[in-house]
Amino acid sequence: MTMETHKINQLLHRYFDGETTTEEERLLEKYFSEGEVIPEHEPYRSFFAGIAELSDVQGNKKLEEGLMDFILESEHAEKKRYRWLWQTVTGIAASILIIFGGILIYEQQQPFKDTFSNPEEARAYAQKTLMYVSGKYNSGLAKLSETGKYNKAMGQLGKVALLGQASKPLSKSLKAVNAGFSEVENLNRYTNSKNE
Amino acid sequence: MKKVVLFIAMVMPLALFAQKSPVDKLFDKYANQKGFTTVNISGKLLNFAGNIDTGDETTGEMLSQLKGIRILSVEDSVLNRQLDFYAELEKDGFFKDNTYEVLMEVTEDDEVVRFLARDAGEGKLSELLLVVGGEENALISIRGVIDPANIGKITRSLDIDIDDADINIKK
Repeated sequence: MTMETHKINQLLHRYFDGETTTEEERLLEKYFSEGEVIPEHEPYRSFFAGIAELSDVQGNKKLEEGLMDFILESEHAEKKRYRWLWQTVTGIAASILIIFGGILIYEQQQPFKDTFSNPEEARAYAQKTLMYVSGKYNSGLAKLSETGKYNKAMGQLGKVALLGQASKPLSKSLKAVNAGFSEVENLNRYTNSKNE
Repeated sequence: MKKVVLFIAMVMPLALFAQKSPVDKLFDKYANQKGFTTVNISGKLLNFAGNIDTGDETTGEMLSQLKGIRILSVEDSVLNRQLDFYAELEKDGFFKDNTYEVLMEVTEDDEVVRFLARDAGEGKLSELLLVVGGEENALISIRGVIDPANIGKITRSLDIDIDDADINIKK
């Protein structure tokens, strides 16, 4: 096996694996067209002859370009159509949402119409309302504080009673202490008078 | 551009489904119906009203801090017997979402007044809601910055009988 056959074998392998470059393909075509093909490669000869023939027909470039343009354009048009559809649908949806949202926000900002147009009337009415509220509020608080006072008073009463109880033993011991003090005083007086 | 659209598309449904509070729903439900009287005073007007110099600064100051007063009262005696705003609010799940606190309930002979409030922090309220039930039904909603201490002061600062301040409401 010569170097060349080896190379051709490799190239063929890569060709059928689709890994060859254009140059290498040209090389193969050249090899098969030049006639000195070893019997091993004979089956591929007609195939490459056909390929070479086809690649010779390079002529009609304009037609090719035209075809390519047509394919690209139709693809583009399809995309454009989808995009247009998408944009319209989302656009409509968004505008509906915006309109509804706007109405809602507007409603929330203006929850009601003014009953009065004159601030003085409004004030009189507001004052009347506030006084009603205030009156109820105060009477509620008063009731609360009445019970509060009652509880407080009871608490204090209880405290007084407790204090009385607690002070009983205290007063007993105080009496004893006092008695002790008076004894001491008596003693002092006694000693004083003795010294004199 | 796409991001903006996406953002709007995501936020809008939220705004759309942001439900009105049960109180507003009640107001909307009964506004302009027979037997009901609604009075609305906007914050803007209250602001003007608060600036009127009447020598009563407590009320003036309080009024100018309010964002709105809405009152719904029932004039019809038959309706009065049928209605119970408190029960309606309860049915609407008003007390389940804890945005309102019950301040107090004042019960008098034939009347129950419930004070509900939304807390604004720092001891202030952002909304005070009075649900009046019993013989007469009414809803009073006061929005804005409310200092509870000022509420009590109003009657003390004004010695006008409530009946004297009565005015006719233009419907």
